[in-house]
Amino acid sequence: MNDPFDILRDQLVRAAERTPARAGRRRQWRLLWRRHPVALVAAALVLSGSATAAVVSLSSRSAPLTGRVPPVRGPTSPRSLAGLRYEITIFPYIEAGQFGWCTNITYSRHGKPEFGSGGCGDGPSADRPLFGDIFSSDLSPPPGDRVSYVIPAPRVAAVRIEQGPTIAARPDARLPFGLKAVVILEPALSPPLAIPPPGSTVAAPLPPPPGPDTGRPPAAIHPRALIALDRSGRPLVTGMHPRAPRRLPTRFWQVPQPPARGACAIGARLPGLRAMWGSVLTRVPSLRGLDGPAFLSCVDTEYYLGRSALKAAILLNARHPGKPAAPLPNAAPARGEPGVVNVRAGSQGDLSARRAGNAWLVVQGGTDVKQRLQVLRALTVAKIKLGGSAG
Amino acid sequence: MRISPFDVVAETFARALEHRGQYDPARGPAVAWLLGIAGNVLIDAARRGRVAAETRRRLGMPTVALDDDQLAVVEERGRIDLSSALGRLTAQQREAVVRRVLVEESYPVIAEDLECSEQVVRKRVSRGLAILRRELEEES
Repeated sequence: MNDPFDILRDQLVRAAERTPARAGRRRQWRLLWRRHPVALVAAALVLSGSATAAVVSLSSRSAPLTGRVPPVRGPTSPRSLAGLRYEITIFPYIEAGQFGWCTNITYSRHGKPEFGSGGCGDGPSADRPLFGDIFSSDLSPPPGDRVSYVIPAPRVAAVRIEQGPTIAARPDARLPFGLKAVVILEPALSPPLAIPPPGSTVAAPLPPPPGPDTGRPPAAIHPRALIALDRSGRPLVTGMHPRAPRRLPTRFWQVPQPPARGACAIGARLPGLRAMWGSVLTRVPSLRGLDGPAFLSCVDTEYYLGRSALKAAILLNARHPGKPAAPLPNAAPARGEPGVVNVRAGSQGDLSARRAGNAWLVVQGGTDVKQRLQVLRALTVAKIKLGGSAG
Repeated sequence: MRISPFDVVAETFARALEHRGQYDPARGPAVAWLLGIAGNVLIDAARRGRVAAETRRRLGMPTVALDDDQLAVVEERGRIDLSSALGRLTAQQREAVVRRVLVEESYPVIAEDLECSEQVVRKRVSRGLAILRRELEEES
């Protein structure tokens, strides 16, 4: 039996030998599979799938997660980012009851961080194909250059900017599998971007920035909407979907109260380590309606060691809490600590983590990785009680 | 009506071959161009109820009638989980392979982004592809 793809390849090679390239531009045809076998497999995978699958024609590429802000043509401002290196990181949202992601962008010059910004939010779900906010470096006039980014759900193939280009979502090994990134380098003076509210494809106006009193009402800023597109190029409109997971009930405590009782608990044994406050899920549900990988934080505790603040949490598999949680994205093995990984989080504080059964025990913050690892070694998963459903 | 995935692949590559002079690397990687053609083939097939074969006819490529064994091969290829195979690489190898092979970024650009030498990037791509070949061969 001859492999049908070998037959096809031979046919194409013979056809290429018989037919010249069309006039206008002479380029040597590279037989894709000889030099890029993975590319052929990727193409064949996509094409040999569902017959209804169509592909968005890609007109523009996302910038990478790390890079250098290019020089700007046209007017600039003192807040120009041109020439700075930027790094975008994504890491789990470890506050109890959360099942989303945190993102951070750090700008640095000559290897030294200058500033950063970020935030945390719910992950992608059935009614929210673009999660998180648009993290822009500057919104007040005169606007400087911006690196804006959004993390789309796996079913999003591209993002269209209102009255602007379509940007293809870009995979990256540093992202949790299935998630991609859309990173947009915007020149100065361009209107900001925003995700439309649920059920709409129009972005809500932003409040006017502070400025001198001119005697007239300040003008609101009308951002350009970011519209998620599926593989067919159809817009994915957000909205309240009955399958989307809802906020989960937690109990909060702080000293002098003892830690609240709930579905999970963290044990600690380290002289000088003080638990100050925290939250815990009252019950652990299996979350439905999630679009893409996710961790569910069952308990979080804020500790102080001397004057350093560290936050610890237990992360579960959000879809199936009784099964092993996925590998942490962009995790690197901690030197000298078998089974421990470090995750870069930028200005929000790096994380260190180790497996504890099917869960991850995570510590974030501290003065440095050494202190973080010291605390991680001193912590245990004292309790994980599964049960209940929600969605 | 059933659209043969193999016919979609064949017609896509035939159109790409016929129009290869129009491919402009400055506009994006070859994979993206190829997938754009595939999209048009699929949309056209959905309208007609069958996959077009005009390009293959113009190029003198006979239609391949697949026997049961060959159909099984096509289905098997469709089951290959590239994501899982990529997951078995280290994060550094995976990034290097994806950026070099699928996105077609140059070694100097990748090296500058990752703040390492081109030689290091080349090694990661080479080792990553070797592992992928082995994993995909074992799966199939």
